[in-house]
Amino acid sequence: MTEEDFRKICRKFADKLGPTFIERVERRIKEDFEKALERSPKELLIAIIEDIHLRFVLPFEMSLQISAYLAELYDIKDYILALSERHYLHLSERQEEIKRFVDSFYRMVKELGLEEQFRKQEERWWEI
Amino acid sequence: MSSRFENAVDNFLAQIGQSIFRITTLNRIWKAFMAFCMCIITEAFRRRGYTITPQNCAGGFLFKCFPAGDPDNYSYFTAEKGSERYEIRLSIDAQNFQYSSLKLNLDVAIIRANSIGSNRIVDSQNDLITFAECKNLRGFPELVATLEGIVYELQRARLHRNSLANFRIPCCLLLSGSGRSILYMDRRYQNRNMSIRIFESLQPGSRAVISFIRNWF
Repeated sequence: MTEEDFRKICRKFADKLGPTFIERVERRIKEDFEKALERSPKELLIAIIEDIHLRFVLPFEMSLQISAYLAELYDIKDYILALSERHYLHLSERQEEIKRFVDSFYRMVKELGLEEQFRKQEERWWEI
Repeated sequence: MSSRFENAVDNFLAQIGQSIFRITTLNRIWKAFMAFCMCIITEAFRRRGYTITPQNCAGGFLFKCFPAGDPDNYSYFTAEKGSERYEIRLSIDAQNFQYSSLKLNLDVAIIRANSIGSNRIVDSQNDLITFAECKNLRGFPELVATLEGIVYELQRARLHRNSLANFRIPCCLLLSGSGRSILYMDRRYQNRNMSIRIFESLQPGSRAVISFIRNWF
């Protein structure tokens, strides 16, 4: 991939995820988005993907493992995250959708040549 | 024509904003880390011979990922071994009544069975066995300061040298991201035999999770 390719991808993320996301990435890299885009677009892309990985992808991966853990050890098929007294997130019924989301992230990372930094880890810690 | 990497990026981004990947959910899904921590903590007890029993889960396991609400309306685990009977719960209020401390909400609390008072508060001096603060973040120094502040309010003797002798199970800061900038504090706690730990990179399927389960206490 060329530097221009990395810039193009960074812009795609910025357009999709909006200014709040960009501000968070700027805090992480301690640099203005546009300056980082000009100086080192690959580093910027890694910072963007790190943020997405930690905030969005890993929690969904956790939800897949929670589901397997509760089902295999305690025969519990459903689980819900209560985010407030009125907001419940039913995740057990969305496992296939979540799996597709997580898989598409790792496919993307592989295509971007960043699989060393974001390797999917699949140890089943309750079996070791 | 788009390249393969562009297609892969477009495929991933196309899901954001749809179904459960709406921004409002994405901004709150980090709370799954609390539920994940509850599970690995429970597993750490199971590995040490405790009998684990899920409670209050007839309609599915309901993780309490917010501070308000009656704890008994949500699911939790009990852990039993010999005369030890504990509850592993999420988002529990604790207060040290002896010192009239601040009332603080703990992410994961391991408490003596049936010790939540009618005021929904656990007496940290007598009934709090240990606790974990869970941050779906990379570590930074203010998190350690917050942890020590919580410890000071609830179980200040943990801050003394050799406190492991009195508090067998360390309270801990659990991070999903790297803790590189603060891990020297974990080494300091261990060198001083203090009952406080920091664990980093607790990501699903990682060796760090296995290490936590094996080495926490």
